[in-house]
Amino acid sequence: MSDAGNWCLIESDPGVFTELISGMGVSGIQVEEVFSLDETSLDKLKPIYGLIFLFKWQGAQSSMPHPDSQDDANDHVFFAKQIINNACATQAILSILMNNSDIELGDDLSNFKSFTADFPPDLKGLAISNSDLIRSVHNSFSRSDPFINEMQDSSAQGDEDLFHFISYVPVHGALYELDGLSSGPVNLGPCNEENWTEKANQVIMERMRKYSESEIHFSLMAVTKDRIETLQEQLDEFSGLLMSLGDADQEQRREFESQISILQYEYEQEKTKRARWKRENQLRQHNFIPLTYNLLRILAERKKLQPLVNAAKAKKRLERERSDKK
Amino acid sequence: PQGTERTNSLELGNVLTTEAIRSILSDQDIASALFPHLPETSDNTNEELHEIIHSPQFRQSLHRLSAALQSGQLGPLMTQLGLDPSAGNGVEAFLAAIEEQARRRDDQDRDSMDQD
Repeated sequence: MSDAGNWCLIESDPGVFTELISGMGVSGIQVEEVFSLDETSLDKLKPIYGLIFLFKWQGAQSSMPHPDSQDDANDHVFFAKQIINNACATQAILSILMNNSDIELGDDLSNFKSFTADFPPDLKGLAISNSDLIRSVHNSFSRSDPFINEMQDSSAQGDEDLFHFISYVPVHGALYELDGLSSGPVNLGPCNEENWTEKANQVIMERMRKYSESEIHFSLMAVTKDRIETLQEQLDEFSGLLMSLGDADQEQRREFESQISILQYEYEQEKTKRARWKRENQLRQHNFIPLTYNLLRILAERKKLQPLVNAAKAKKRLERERSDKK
Repeated sequence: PQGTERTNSLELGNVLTTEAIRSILSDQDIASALFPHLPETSDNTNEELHEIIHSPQFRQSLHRLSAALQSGQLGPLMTQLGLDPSAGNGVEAFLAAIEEQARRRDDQDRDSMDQD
């Protein structure tokens, strides 16, 4: 994989992915981390447009035997070969966005989708790596310390953890596994809107079982409809139901009211979480070098830096002596 | 005899520990001098400064800067900060250069006071 055009590493975080998606002009989409692979946890997040499974990549080919991929799948599945290492998060996200007609892609990605529609997978991958929009949004998470990022990119083969991302997405009545390092989309069998997450779960759990033996880290993200929108719609629905109730039906009324208060609570939680994400992203994108330098400079001017450095060195020395003794 | 030390393992985060700088940040003069370097959206309050210095994002930034310094390729950035390019040769060189810069400023201040 080439280094084409300096793609920075980005953090695998639902807040980062959500902002990345809206930065590409896509509206109404959110990414949530899935902590438990049972249907009730996933039900809460519905509608889910796709799942992203990520694990620490060990360089060798996946130990998972791939079912035969369909040769004609390229006609109706958006599948791109992964050209750049660091772009795999963005690529996995695009694999989901591009394969769902319910998602409002916005002008830029819609154009990109139609422009690349007839491209074979390797050219699609190349088109992603050459897209100024996609690269600039991806790199907006480069934490604006440019010197450091360029260098990190070149040294990424070192002990930097390399994560690999695979998407699971339902397309035209079949569940697909989209792995940019595979030769094509893998058809995992028929599914419908209702049962695809269950089927994906089985595949993912099978992978997890394999990887947990070799202690590979993994996590799972769901690309969902904007939770605030979803909760607002559910609130509206229950409020409507409540209004249409006659006075007589007290029991039903109480049930709706308790549903509404649960939804209101979740709605507030969601708002708080969004504010937190926004804040974390601002800090991620801030260049902290001036703050660090000025903090150190002021400490030095007040003759407080040298004692801190000496203390840090002494502590290091002690740690080393301890570990040498072992 | 310090030559045997494996100095490259020192990180900025080891020096700027949250415990060590807690009391320093509560100094209003220091805090005010740092406000301009917070993200634009931040409130310029001591609590905010405190929170940011403790945030994982700031700690990660210290870690990245340390790694970059250890790779010895930050000469251009050092020049931007008014330091000698050799300050980019490691965390210790960077800290020593900041010390040296402060000492020079101190001397200059004393000289200009003598002249008055």
